[in-house]
Amino acid sequence: MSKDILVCCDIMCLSKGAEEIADNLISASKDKNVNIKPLVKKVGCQGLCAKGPMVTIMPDNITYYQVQPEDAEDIIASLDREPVERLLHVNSDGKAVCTMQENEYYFMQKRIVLRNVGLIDPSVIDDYINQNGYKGLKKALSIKQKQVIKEIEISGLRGRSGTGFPVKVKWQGCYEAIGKTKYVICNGDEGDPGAFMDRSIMDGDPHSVLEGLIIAAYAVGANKGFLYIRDEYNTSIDRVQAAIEDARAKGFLGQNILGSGFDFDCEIVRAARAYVCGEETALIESIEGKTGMPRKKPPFPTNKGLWDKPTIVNNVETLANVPYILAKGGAEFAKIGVKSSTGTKVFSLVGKVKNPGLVEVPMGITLRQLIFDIGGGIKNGKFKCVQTGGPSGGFIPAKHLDLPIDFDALKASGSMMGSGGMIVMDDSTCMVELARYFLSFLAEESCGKCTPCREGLRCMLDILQRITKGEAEIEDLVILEDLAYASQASLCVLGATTANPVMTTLKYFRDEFEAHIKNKECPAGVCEALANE
Amino acid sequence: MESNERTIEEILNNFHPEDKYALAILHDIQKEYGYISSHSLKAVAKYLDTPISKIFSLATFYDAYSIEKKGRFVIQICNGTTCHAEGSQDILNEIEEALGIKAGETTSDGLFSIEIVHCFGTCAMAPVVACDNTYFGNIKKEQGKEIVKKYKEKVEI
Repeated sequence: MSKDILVCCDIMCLSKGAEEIADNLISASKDKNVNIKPLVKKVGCQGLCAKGPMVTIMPDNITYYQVQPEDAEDIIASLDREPVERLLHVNSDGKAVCTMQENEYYFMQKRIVLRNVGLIDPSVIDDYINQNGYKGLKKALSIKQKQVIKEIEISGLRGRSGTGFPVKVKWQGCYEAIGKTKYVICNGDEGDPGAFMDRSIMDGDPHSVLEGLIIAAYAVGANKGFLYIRDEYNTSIDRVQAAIEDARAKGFLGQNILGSGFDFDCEIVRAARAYVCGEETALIESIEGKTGMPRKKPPFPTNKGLWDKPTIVNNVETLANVPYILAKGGAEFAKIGVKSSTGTKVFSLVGKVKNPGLVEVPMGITLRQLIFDIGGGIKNGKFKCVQTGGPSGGFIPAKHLDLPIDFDALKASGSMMGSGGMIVMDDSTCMVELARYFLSFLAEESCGKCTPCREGLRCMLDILQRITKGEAEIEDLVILEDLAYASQASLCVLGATTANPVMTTLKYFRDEFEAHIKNKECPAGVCEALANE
Repeated sequence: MESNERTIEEILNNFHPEDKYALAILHDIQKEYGYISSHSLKAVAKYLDTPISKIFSLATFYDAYSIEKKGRFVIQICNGTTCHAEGSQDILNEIEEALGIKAGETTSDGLFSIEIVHCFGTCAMAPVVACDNTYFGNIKKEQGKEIVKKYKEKVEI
């Protein structure tokens, strides 16, 4: 019987020696006394980064955690024997478990977007094809464009980049737009600090994104596409580039794709580190070779986008859902999650939780389940809040922990789903300092086009800096709120939401602001200027 | 060492002279020389038949480019939200002290630069420092200095 050993070689496991583990496994398996010769594969993120490096044996479905290079011989020797007990996961009830499914970290998870991540060799297209890869594309090409869009409508898929805009509306708009030349763009400029979902997808399963993009192109009638990928993501760029070349060689890209008469090709554009380029019109400007400054809307990109042609921009995770929807049917997808937010959401669950890592859960589970049941709760100290939606998202305090994870419920709480970064804070975090941190990030990244964002952020940052130094007056809070209100007048969604971190901290943690101003003290003991008072 | 560098013309000739390649050209120049010199700016503007002010604005708008020469080793300290909450400021202070320069500066021997990065997307091992495509996670006190030492030794070899 042949066995596969899947070694997680995502950046985080690599930094803990995954490469050496893979090499040792290969050399250990060459020993002539070894009966079973396994195939060692370097795969993408298997999820529980806190317990990496992770190694999984297939088809036995045994996963080992915190593997060291010295463990290789024991793992190889165990292939026709009992599992290596010391490397198994131990659940909170004290029981050691072999499979990932039995590990409490994965109990509530459902892998749709991450269906292949951590299971296939991302650099081998046949691995993807063997997991039903490009089946969604075949299905799409066998039906009319309108029917593809209908499937997406039935699925209820909403954009995963943050706002939750219905994907069908964009596709329909672009399909109906007049013009022979149309474009599709994959937004891989994952700019929210604390988020690595899109990186993990591109690194671990690049073809799922590419297949989604080809289907999108067919649906709207585009013959050319771009993948705009974050400059910092070297591995993603290499993997997607290799995927494009392999897909072209197999006839999934190029002229007359799979004999359907449909032509499509795409290329990567390397982004250049500007947060604002995550906004779709700024991204379009950037692909055109300009500074990334958002355009006014309308006209929407679906009518007038890249080089003024009808264009859709979808993010990585959104596109990775598309092949699944086409292959399984929109109705099947819509069964997952809740009515207004179907499917799953991938999160990078990080910060002060016991089990930081990459998770994918059905929409509708609560924040409490995500943070405490999956994340294992807080490492040390007490839960204070969770930050969602990136720098222009917001903070959700303990009293809202039972909110379900869906686009509308999170928005109603004053935060937003965002792209999926979920950063958990404990009581050692000073909310005022954190709000200052976000403002300094946003002030630096503001493209400078609109006054309320450009100047407003600087003024707000100045106030926050004075508060953290104990130099502010209580009246400053009123000015802060006024400026926060005014920033909504900015052109783009990033500008209009820049004040979210300030608004939500003021809403939920006003007492901390007041403690800094009135008592000149920092309750969390973070702000240095107030430390010894 | 200098003789191995590609000339600006060699870089430019890999691209069609179209505006959409401006970013890609600048990426290649940045990678080759460690910065975008005024000579490069002029050459790109001429090649793309566009005002130099436009190329200058690209080179200064995007953080991926620098108009000042970077060191041979760029030590990148992540200051994403998670790293920030996990104490990236202390690591930055430690590395600044070890190299005797501030973030954004380059040592006078041209060997080291310090750069603050918004997020590497490796937050599960925050705080993170990277250099030369190697990532160091879960950095504790004193480890910042060790990283500097490690690269200083590399220079000596």
